[in-house]
Amino acid sequence: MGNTTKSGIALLITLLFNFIPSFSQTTIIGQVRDSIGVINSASLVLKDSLSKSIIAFTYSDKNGDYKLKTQNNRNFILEINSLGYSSETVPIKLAPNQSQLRVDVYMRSEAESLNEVVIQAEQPISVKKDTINFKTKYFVDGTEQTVEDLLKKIPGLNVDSEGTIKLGNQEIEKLMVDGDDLFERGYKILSKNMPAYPIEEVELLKNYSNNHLLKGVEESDKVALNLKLDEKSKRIWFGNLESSIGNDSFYQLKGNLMNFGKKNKYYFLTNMNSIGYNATGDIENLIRPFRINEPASIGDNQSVSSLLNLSPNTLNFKQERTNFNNAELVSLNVIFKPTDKLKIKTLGFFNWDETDFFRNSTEIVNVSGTNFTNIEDYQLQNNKRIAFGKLDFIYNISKTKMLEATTKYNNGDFNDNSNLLFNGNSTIENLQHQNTLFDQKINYTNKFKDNKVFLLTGRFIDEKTPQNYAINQFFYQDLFPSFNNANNVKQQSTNQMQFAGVNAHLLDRKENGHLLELQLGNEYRKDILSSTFSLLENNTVLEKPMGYQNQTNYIVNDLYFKSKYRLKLKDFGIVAKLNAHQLFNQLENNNVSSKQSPFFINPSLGFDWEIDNKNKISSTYSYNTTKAKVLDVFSDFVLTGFRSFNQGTGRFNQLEASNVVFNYQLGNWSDRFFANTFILYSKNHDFFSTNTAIEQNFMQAEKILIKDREFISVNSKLDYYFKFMSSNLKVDLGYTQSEFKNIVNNSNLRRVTSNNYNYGLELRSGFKGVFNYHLGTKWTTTEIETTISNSFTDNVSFLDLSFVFSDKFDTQIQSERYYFGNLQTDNTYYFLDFDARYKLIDNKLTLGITGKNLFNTERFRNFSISDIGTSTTEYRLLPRFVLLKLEYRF
Amino acid sequence: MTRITFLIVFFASVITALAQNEKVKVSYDLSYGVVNNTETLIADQENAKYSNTFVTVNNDNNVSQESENQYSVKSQKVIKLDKIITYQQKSKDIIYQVHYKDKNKFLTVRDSLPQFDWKFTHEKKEILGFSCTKATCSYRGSKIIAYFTQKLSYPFGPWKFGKLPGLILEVYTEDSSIDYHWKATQIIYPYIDNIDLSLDIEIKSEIIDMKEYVTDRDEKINERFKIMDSRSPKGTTVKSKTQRLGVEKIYEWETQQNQE
Repeated sequence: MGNTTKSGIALLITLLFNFIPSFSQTTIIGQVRDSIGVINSASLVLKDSLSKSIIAFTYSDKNGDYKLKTQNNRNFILEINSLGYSSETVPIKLAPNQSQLRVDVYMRSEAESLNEVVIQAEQPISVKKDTINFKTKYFVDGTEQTVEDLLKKIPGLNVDSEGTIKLGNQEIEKLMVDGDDLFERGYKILSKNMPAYPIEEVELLKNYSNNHLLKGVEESDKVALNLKLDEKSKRIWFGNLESSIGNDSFYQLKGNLMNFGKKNKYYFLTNMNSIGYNATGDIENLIRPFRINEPASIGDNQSVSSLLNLSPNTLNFKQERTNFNNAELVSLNVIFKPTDKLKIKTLGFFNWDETDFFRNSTEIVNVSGTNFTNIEDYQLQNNKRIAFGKLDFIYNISKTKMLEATTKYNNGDFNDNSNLLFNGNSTIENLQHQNTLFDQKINYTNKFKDNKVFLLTGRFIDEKTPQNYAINQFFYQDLFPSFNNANNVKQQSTNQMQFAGVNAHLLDRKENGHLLELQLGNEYRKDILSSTFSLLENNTVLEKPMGYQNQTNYIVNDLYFKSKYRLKLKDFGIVAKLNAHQLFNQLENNNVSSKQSPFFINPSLGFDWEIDNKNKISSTYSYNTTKAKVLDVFSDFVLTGFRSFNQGTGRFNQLEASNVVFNYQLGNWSDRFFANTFILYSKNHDFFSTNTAIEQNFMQAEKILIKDREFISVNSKLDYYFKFMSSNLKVDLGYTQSEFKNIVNNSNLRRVTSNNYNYGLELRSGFKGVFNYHLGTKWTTTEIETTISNSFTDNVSFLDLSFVFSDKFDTQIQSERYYFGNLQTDNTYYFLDFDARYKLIDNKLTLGITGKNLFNTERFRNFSISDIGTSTTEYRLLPRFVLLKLEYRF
Repeated sequence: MTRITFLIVFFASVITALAQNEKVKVSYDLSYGVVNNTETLIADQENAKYSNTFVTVNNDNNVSQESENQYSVKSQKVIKLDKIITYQQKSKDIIYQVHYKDKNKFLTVRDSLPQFDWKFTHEKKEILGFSCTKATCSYRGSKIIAYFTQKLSYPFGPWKFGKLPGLILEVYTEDSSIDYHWKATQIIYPYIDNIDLSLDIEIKSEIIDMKEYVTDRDEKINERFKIMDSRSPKGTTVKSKTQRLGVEKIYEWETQQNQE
């Protein structure tokens, strides 16, 4: 009734409007209703009748009325939907210039709509929970040159000054490129050298498993990163070249060339420098990746140790300041995928290096009535050439089975020469040595059930290190009184090892999340150590003295069964381990042979408990029995330096120890307050010590087995962020006490206790502006107690300033101060380094300048104490140099 | 006679009114970063109430064994996210979000939404048996892809999304540093329940505007980044960029420049 009137008026209006010349807008109005009344909130969609494009839409109001506007005079269809009604479609044809049209809609109800309908997806959407993707363009600001710089920008990731990449506090397992792993744990080669610009996405893989079939079964907390490249960088060659030239012919040349296709990936890298930079970095990780508790990792800890070493001391100091080098490094790395199932990885690596090291030392020995002072002026030159090759085959037999084979070959050739002035005697040492390694590993993995995996691994290693050592002086007259004519000595030695192992490993992840691991295996190792020591007069061998020649064959066969169970109850986890070993040992020293077959069990129990969100504790107790190594069991003396002889026990030994570890964490790393305390206590029920005879010209140390020693270490780190100064205060407190016993010059068993205290403070800003600072200081007190006690305190302080002026220009200044408490003179040293970079052309050309040792500190002295005396050592440092850098990308 | 007619009309309108206020309940699966959660939309023709629960994300493997006898404890084990209830009305461009820190502690944020400039495409796909049309828009710095069905005539969707000629069954961000993805997993209709979908008056009394809320939140995040920067190791120059990782990256009251 009313509606008729309304529509009558509407029609009138429509007609009226028709006479008004409007070119564009047409309004469609109307009402939606059913047989009973009006329909509120019906959806009305106006579409083009041909293209079906949506032109406009609306919902009807409480009175069922709607209004739609359209710009175009065309043919339309109007689609009307309302819940509980069948969809309606009304064709609409607008007359030219028609500005309004009324369309009323009548809807028919759907019978079934009165019942509740539940529509459910068939299976929940799977989400890759352990993967987080970061698209790099949202994080970069243009200052990043290398992958390392890029990763520093990703929230949660940290890169420390050594290039170690961490998520929070945990180091990543590997850095992949489009899913392929080129460098394993040696990822720093990639992160430090690969340019950042081709990377589109960084994928963070949590709970990562090196063996993809172990994913979700093994207890993994590993983190890996995968770099995804943008389309335009795929299958094309790209790279960069960086050259630096400085005063006094200091230089560095770096180059990277790479091509990452879907099937093949290539990475060539080269570095040459004379600025003390150790480009090999983590190359050791590539040659011998060391993975603890990784399934199928048998034999990782098997290697030959050399008897002798002529190498620079490790200093509590930046190594590159004393490393006079001339290094050349080339690495070729290729991944092929001939089929979907097969992946072949090859790695070739060559390294040449010539390093010089300079040291002056004064050693004062005062022990058991023996007093003397030795003065050494030492120059060392090391030459090395290393060639390394690795071949990996990965064959995916099926979705649940995989076969992996790794072959490695290493060949190292070393020539070390020292020029020594020992108490005024000119002495020349020469050590020529080689290292040959062949390593073959095969692993078969079968995931025979969803949460059960079986691995079978076999490995064979053969490694040999022959050494030829010659000294052009005869310091041992007192040892060999009948050889007055001797004027030089030589020692030829070979240390060879063969390892063969098989391991069967079962991992069973229970329904409740508990994990059971069982391993059965056999590891066989044979060591052959031979050494010949000769006294010479010029080139004539006078004597090969008795008691100084070794021919040792040492075989250890370890048949073992290992079990491990991890139990998880809410916030409480327990790990229990029980490892049973049956050994079959055989030792032959200079044709005297003996056998032994001990059996022992190594148990361990640990727990971790998260009391609440802020408080976490974990602790472990373990009892370990370790086997003696070949360098512990040989019978006669060997020369291990120009004035030292060592001797093994000549017997089988198993060493027993108990360890307790305790860790307490308060707060979380990103909270304002965060603290962590770590306590380690260990008790060696037996340990190797020495019975040493010390003379001015030589020392003879005989290995002896002693009972009971203790070691305790406590370390606390506290972080507090001061909001008002946007800076973090770090307090680092540590205490270590170690104790051992030895015999010196026929003394009784002496107890030697050493105490170390360190306390440090650091303050670092987190300003958002141009400038940031980092300053810190740390004291270390060392105390040694034997019959007399000796102590001193050193201090190291630093101040680093950073200025990031713009995306194009930044600079860093680093200064250090060293103070040695026990030096009377020359006890304070200062260093200043700086680094500045300017981008000439974005992504193409960067200019840089680096300055090292700007105060031109030429020498550096430090002081140490031991149980037999004190020593003052002076090192020669790389002089001041300034490098001009130019980096070009292509 | 008139009386009877009146009676019939009255009766009929009651039924209509009932039919008109039919509710729908949709469960959505939301995933972004490590978070994966089920969220719920309950809507009638006029109002919508969208809520998640308190989300706790468990990072079970936060104790790592570094070597044979050494453990270290890593980052936060449980990440707790607030419960947020989003209230939308068909006829209004203002959205209220109530953020619960816990049951009694909450904060209401009033957000005057910018217009969704939905662009329709011809692409269609079926979600839970409903034919859905793809629409795209640019919303506060993110590119949004949505699939809606005309068949369910509600102008709502998950979170703050809506204003389409039908219910949104799937919506995701594209070209974003962390992708957000909502997808309907269950639809119940009509959903018979007496739940009140309008914003609680009591809650309404403590309201802050979105702008103020964002400023506060950015300040807190900034502070957190500063803490992390000031704890980075020696020798490294780190400057974390404060980056909004959510769907909303740039607000109308900000310039299009970088927010530092």
